[in-house]
Amino acid sequence: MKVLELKQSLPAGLDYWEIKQQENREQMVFFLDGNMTSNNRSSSLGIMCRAYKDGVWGLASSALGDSATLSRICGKAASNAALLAKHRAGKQFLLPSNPAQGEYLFYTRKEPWSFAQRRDFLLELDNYLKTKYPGLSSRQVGIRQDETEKHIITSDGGDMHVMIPRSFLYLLMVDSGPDGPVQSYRALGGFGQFEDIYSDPKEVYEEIEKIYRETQDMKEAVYARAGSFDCVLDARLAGILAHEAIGHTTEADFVLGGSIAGDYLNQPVASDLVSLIDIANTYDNTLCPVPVFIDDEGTLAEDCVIIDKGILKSYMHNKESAAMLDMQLTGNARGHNFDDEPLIRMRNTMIVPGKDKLAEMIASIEDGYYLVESSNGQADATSEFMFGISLGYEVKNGKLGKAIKSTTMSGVAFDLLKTVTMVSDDMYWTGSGMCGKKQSIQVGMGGPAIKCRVNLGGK
Amino acid sequence: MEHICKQLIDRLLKNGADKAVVSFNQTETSEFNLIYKELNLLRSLESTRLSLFAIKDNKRAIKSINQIDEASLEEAITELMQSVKDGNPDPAFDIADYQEPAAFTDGALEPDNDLIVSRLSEFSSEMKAHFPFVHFDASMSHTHSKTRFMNSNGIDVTMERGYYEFSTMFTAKKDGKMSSMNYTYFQAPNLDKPCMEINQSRELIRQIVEQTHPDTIPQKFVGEVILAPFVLGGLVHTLIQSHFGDGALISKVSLYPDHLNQKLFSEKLTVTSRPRDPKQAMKYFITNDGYLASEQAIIEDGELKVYPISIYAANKTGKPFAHCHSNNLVIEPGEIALAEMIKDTKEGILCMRASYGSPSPQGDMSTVAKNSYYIKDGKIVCPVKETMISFNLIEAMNNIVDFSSETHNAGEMIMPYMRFSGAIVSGA
Repeated sequence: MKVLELKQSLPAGLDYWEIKQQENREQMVFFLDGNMTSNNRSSSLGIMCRAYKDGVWGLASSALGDSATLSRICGKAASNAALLAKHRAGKQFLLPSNPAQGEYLFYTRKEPWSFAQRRDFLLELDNYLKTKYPGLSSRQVGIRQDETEKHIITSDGGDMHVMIPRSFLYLLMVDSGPDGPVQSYRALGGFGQFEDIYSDPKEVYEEIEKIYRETQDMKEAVYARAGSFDCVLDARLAGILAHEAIGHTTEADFVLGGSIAGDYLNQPVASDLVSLIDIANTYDNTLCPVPVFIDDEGTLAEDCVIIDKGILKSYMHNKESAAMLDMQLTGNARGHNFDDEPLIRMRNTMIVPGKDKLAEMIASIEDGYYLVESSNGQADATSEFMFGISLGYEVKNGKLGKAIKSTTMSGVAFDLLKTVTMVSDDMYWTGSGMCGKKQSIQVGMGGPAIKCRVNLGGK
Repeated sequence: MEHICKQLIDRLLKNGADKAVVSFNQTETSEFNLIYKELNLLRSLESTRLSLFAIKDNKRAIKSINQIDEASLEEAITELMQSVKDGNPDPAFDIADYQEPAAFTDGALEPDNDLIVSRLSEFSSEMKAHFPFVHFDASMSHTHSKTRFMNSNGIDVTMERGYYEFSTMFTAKKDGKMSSMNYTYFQAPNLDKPCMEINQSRELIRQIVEQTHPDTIPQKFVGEVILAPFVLGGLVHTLIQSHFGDGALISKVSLYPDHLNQKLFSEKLTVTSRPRDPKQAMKYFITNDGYLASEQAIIEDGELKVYPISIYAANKTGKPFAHCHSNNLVIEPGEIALAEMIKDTKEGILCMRASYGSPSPQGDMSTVAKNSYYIKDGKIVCPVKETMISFNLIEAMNNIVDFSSETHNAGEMIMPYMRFSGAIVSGA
């Protein structure tokens, strides 16, 4: 992205403004049964100005990046705010400020791979699948890399230039079971460009074997029983629990919109084994899947401890919500495309690992389930949540049994978290997620395995 | 637009493409947002999308950009042709055959911003006056979009349209109790009617207040489920994609890969794609391949009539491609009113919103019943909480009891309520 000089077009007379130049880039290459079904590249570049005046916002954007257009959209943003202010009767707030400046460009330091090298990497994996598991009825391998580059300046001194890449390797196996097709799927990878994560297809063989085993387990899968059970949620599920079940209810715009979390600040909402944090960028000295150093309002991004040993401690904020609730800024304002307004978005939401061992947790279940993989999830202002469960196993007398067919898990998060009796000492990050809240945006989520009581759909 | 598209087709062919497709779209959107019950944000967006598609020696690549200066175009062409060169051949790649050029114009091309503000203010005032315990956000926008689609076989379609879009999300909080959140939306060619009077907006908002006091169902049971129109639309779309779409057929997860003209579902089920239905605001005029879209029953009287697939999927599977997508789906209304349906239900759930994961390839699925009601002996007993409905989607479409006479038009689908039997309903 050719970085523009944004400062030349500063609008005057506004209470606050920000100007953003952003480019999103994506590459997708997929093979299905050896045929290249996707060979796509896309990019989207543009500029946006958002202006705050008299308690309302005006925004304007354009894909054009010349200085005349920049001046025009800045003027349009200001006039939009002025137009809206005529119809606004609500209270006005002085927006808080904690500006930061910095450049965070995470281009690979390795020799970038050509498209042909990526293609050959996938073809080698595809050939491995075809040769090793000839009985599969279908197989799919693919790479998706997305890059988000932003240059933002704000009227209160925020100034950032960032390029965050994510790269994923997708593996799908379809086999025929007695009841028809069964499939298992995995998205591997996370933060970084492809060369930062992979160098040799053989590094993936072990994971491929696990996916194949899961596919075979699914052939013999039985229906889960409908009802409430003691379950162990694998670490692969902890992230979506943190994000969907709790995280959304504690985004301050949800709180202002009536979320149940608004009633629980500084109250116990979970077992004291549970601590939950929205990490800005770094956990355990390692960059998280979606590192955020400065948010789209130019605010310094800081970790937000949402639940500390079972007590609800804080919410995630942008400038407006922090002003309305008189709380500290957290740096959670993010927009996905160049023309998107920053919304309160989670960054890397995680449950803090505990001290238990996964094997002991499973052994402690008399009659329940070990739930491993989720297909999707949804949240509610009441903290009632739903996850699709695409992989799970029966547990009887502490031993794993048959796989279960796809089902749905649900619960009220602030009730469920009070039933947590064990938390494992491991940690698993998921970086391939996209959270849909008006705009779809990259999020990280993670955590350990958890033993708790949940509702399952089934027979 | 014509000049850019023609020039790009020529340049792709000159750069070695055997076949080429160009799609060029320019859009202007004005979006007014009510946040925390007040007008808060006005967005004015100008966007561009240019998609280039090339095939050479049976290799295919696609490049999509939003910059149209000469340097960006040249870079895109060079990169695209390199991607084509590095691709893998598949004789199934192809583009649409020649058809007569066509042009379509639809809807209000210019926004009436005063009317948007007026309709939103009216909605906000009514919410505050009549539903003081309801928290809500809402947005209303106007989009004006121009698209030119050309390919090297001579396809040339011009499309220009304008439409309004409304959405609102709401939850109620009263006496320390709160409801689940719910939402409604529609796309419309004009703003003739207040938002509250379109589809079931007022009824959903009325319901949200009583949903602050939900109850658990008394016991697990097997019963009937009445799916609200938005829920039915989502499930029908999922069913079609899961078994009759490109991905399902090519990756062999479809249970019905060779079942054209076979009866798969209840004879009560007819699902039609109506791309240019005058009743729907969000029309589509061409398929993704560029063929003019036409009305097509995908399922008629329970029989599968067409696989809504692309040229590529058709060539891969040996089936005919379709002149429709699985969009703008319509199910005709039945003869029974929703109230009568409820009266006729011994034990069941009126499912107003569903929160679910993808069904298994066999169709098994479970959904959390949101904003929904327990029905016993023909009467609504209570709003429910923590209630799960487990069923098989294919069996559900074979166990249809009836469709309601009421329909809802979201501007992209028209659906009635549907009742089916045999669902397992369980609580916490």
